[in-house]
Amino acid sequence: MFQLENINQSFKGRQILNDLNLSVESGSILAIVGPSGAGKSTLLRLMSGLDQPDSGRFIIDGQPYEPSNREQGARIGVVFQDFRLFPHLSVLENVTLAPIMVKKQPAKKAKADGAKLLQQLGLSAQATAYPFQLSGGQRQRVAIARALAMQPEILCYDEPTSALDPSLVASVAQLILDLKQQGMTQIVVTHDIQFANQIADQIFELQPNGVQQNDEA
Amino acid sequence: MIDYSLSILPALLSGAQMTLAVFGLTIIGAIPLGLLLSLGLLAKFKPLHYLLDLYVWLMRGTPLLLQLIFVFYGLPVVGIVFNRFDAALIAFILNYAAYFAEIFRGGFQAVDNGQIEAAEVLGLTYPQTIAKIIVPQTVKIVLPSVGNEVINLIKDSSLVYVIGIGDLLRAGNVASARDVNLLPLLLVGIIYLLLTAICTWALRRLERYYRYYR
Repeated sequence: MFQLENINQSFKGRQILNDLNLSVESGSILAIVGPSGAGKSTLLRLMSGLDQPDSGRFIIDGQPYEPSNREQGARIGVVFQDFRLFPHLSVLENVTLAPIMVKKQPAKKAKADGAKLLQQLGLSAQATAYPFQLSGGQRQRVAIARALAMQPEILCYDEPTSALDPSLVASVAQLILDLKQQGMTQIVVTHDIQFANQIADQIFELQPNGVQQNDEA
Repeated sequence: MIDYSLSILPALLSGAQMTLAVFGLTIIGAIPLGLLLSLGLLAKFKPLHYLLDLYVWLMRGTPLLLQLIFVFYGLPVVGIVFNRFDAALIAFILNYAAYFAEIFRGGFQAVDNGQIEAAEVLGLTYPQTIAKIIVPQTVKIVLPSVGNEVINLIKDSSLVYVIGIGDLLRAGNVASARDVNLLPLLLVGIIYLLLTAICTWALRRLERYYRYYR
């Protein structure tokens, strides 16, 4: 179980997250919804360790967890809204970079594991391509593969449907549900309530000015 | 005319050798130094920043010719003596490193911050991020500007005449004055054009190589 306890965060004097408490069961999908400015991105940046909260703590399976401590690789993986693939690296190199550099895996093993991941995500044919040669949906799957290669316990998505063609939304939903089948805990930040209803076990609604509401889907 | 050209060619080619030596060694010295300075320009430690700003201002704000004269004729006044060639290299490397530092700084800043965050959440350390993400992308960004400086350097190297070094232009000047003939200078021009053409070609090749991604 992943828990957030009394998280507070303000930005330029405005309280964005106010004593936020949240928990996600292992292997389930949590959708965080809310209008722009409600703090969805702020929350994601805290969970991924890109920013530090003013106060509060994170707990994984009962143990305190510090998201910015990633010496052995982060336990929380992130799929950015704009994917942020490394443009100068091939698809396979995007996926194997962190396992080799951070987990110190031998290149051979990292490549074999990476190829397996790409196959699982239907990207085998693109392994040697560069990000600019891919479609938006393919880029997103590379971003997911890159995050999964670090074997995170929790995978976070920032607005996974916003950069995609509407016809691809169903396949992302399917992919997220497939990963759930494999036991991955997932947190999806989205403004798309319909999408959230489609995939989530639990929906958490962020309101501007730090008001929250928790619904079971 | 052909006989005359052939007779002065050995002198011109030995001058060209000096030009290439100044050129090559300056590149080898100035690019790494410029890289180091650019990292300093990006550092958050303010005093270092001001110091490097001052350095870049001095180097870009005064003529290279003046800097050459200063290193060779000026420094001995305070007891620091270099031979001609070393003095030329020191002045050129210090000067060009300042230009390269500004180019690299701009290049680093042009790399999308999202790339750095993406590397960060994957757990890459900052040095790893610099080596694997920032520098490779910066190379592509700065290549055209670096190419400009490289071409400039070939021609700027002719400034070494002021401290009495026999480079290509000086060899042509000597022959021209001795024989009261403009042909040596014409040949000098042609040799410079050949050198810059080779550089341009090599830089284009490099730029084309980096087109493998966008």
